[in-house]
Formats: sequence, structure tokens, C-alpha cells
Amino acid sequence: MTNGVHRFSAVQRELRDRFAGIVETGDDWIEVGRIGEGESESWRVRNPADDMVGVAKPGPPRADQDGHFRAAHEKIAFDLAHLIGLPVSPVVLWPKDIGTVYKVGRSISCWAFPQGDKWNVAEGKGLISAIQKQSVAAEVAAMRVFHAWIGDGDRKPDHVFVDTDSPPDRLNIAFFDHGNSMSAAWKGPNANCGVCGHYLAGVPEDKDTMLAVAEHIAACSDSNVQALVDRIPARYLPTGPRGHIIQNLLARKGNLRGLVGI
Amino acid sequence: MADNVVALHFGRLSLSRITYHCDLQRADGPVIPLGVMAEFSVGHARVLGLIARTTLDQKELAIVGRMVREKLAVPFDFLKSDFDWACKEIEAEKLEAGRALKLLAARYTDSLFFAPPTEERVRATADFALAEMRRRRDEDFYSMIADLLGQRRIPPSKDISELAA
Repeated sequence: MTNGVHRFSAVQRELRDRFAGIVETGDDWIEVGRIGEGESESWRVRNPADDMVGVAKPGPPRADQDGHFRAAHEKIAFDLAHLIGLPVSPVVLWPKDIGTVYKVGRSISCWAFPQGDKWNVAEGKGLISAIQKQSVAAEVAAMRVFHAWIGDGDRKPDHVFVDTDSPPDRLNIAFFDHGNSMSAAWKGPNANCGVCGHYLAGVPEDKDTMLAVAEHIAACSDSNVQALVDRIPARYLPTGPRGHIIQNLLARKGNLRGLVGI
Repeated sequence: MADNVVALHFGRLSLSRITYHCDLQRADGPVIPLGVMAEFSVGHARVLGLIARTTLDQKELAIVGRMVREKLAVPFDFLKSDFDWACKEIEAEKLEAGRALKLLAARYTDSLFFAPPTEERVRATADFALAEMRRRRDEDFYSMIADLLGQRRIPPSKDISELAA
């Protein structure tokens, strides 16, 4: 587990390290176009400093929600995954219009690979081979444990990003969309919430990796986990839900084998 | 009203440009134009259309990811299943007017990208809905290709595109 469970290239690892080192972007990202529609609507944004592109969430339909801390959840999920070495797309917090249009702020996620599509799209277009599905057993197993830890029980194939430049015998994947995790599911201390099952057809279950990841998370120091939550500014995450997130993360991390049934 | 006078109604025309993004992480990453899907509803009439490129050139294919290269070589075939799906849903009256393109825009948000549809009120009769949709769809398609290739105008050509409506 020292190198983590992912197949990011050096370039992608550098991007992840850079984003993990920043809590809130100070750059003047520009909204360049809508992505998606309705509740899933978000904005494609561009950083004029380096021409990088990302996705700002939530979109306008959810902008005025002040009791759902999506941006904070996205950022904490990425930071925790980075700490453990798991494949979650890089995220930073974006303060533009926070407290006014966007009540509890937005996050910017970057695509984990230069080219790709969601799992359900790649699958629907017949792009993923049986061998490639078998090749991601470890990543999928690891993320199942991670999602159990952060209280994200509603995972779907369209929350998995597939690198469509993957070689024929293996698949590069990353996970995104953690806005509905943690305090969205945990309304108090020691909260009870469902864990997600195995949701990617054709990918074998890898219980050895699940076990290894559960033990790895259990061994993470409480202070490191707490520090990642505590560094989120209060305007994105007030005291009440912050406390619930810390308490639940620390309480669950030693009990993941029981939670996922291994 | 005289028999030879037909009432014009306002209909709703939705157009969605379909592109392939070869570097999602960079604003200057190459974008390959693939096609345009259109839906026009006027009165009870609803028409759906697709115009898409017949082939990609070798330069374009060289920058498309390995997993998708072979299938994307013929964009019209690659997109036809989405057109067929939308047709079926509309025929079964499962989707209200304008909804098909919105669902496709919500599904294809990454390298394969359906832009959120632009919507416009257009005056037409039900009889002329198909012709009007085709005209506007094709116009938008050639204008998209010209935009992305940095040219002023691309003349319509059967060598470039294939149609479904």
C-alpha cells in the first residue's frame, strides 16, 4: 500500500500533489460554458494563469442550498484519497461568489486524465473489454472501502472516469463526485448509513485488496485525518457538520472490515 | 379564414453540437467536430435529426484515445445509436418536447461532449417542421466545423456529412 492503488502517470501524480497542497484556489478562474443539464448542471472553468480547465460544482440549480456542504465534501474526499493513495480526481475549493450566489461555496474538480468518459458512457459505446474490466479489480475494491469510510453509499458507474487512452490489457480509472458523502449522510455522531455494494458489472471482487485498504485506513493517524477536515474554511463548512465529519471519520476508520463485511 | 391560408405557429427548435475533446485538462486542447443533433416541436409534430461527419482524417484519429479510435473513425455510425435511442423514446411518448437533447447533454459531458442545447422559438407549420429542422441543423453543423477549423465558411458537401431524420 505504500504506493497506493492507482495507475496515474507522473504528470497526473504531480497534478494531484499540487491540488492536495492547496485548500482554496486564489486564481481567477473563468466560467467558459455549461456542462450537463438540470440538477447535474455544472460549469467548465478555465484558469487563465496556466490555461488549465476544470469543472465547477455545484451548478446554479443548487447554488442557494446552504445546508448541503457539497464543495467541502468534494475537497475532503479528494484530500483523504490522496493521503491514502487512491484514485480520486483532484479538487480545490473556489471562493468566487461564496456567501452570496453560492451560499456554501463551490469546488473545482479537474479531469484525472486528458481524455476519457464516464464508465456508463464507455460501457454503453462498447469500449471496455472484459480484460480491462478484470484489470481494475484492485482499484474498485479499494474505493469500495474508501466510500464506506466516507459514508458515500450511492455510487454509480457514472461516477467513475475511464481513461480512453488506456492500453488494451488494462484500464486507468478515477473516481469523482463525492458531494453527497459525509455530512450529507451523517446528521450526528456515530451515524448509521448504508454502504455501497459492488456496482461495476464484470469487475471481479478483490477481497484481499479490500482487507489491505481497510487496514491501511485504520492505521492512518487520527491527527492527519482531522487536520484535513480542519483546514477547510468555516464558510464552506460550519462547526456543527465539521464536528460530525471528524467524529464519524475517526470512529469508522477502525471498523471498516465490519462495515463492508470482510 | 380562407382555405389557402395556413396558420403559422411558434415551435421550439433545440440544437446540440457534438464534439470530441482530446485534452480535457487544457483550454487549448484539440476539439474535433462530430455532428449536430436537432429537435423541432411545433403543435403536435416533433421531428428529430442528426447530421454527422462521415469520417475523421488521419491527423484527427492520431490524437484520439486508443480505446475509442476505431469506433470514432466513422462519427455518424458512432452517434447513430444515440439518435435511435432518442427517436424511440419520443415515439413512445416517454419524453416531453426538447427533453431528449437535454438528457444526451447530461450523459455526454467529457471527451464525447453533447453541448447543452440552444433553444429558440421558430415560426413554422407542422408540415414544414421537417424541412425547417433540416435547414437549421445543417447550417449549424457547417458553421461548427468552420468555427473549429478556423475557416470562414465550409460549403455543404455529401462527402463530409451523413444525415438522419
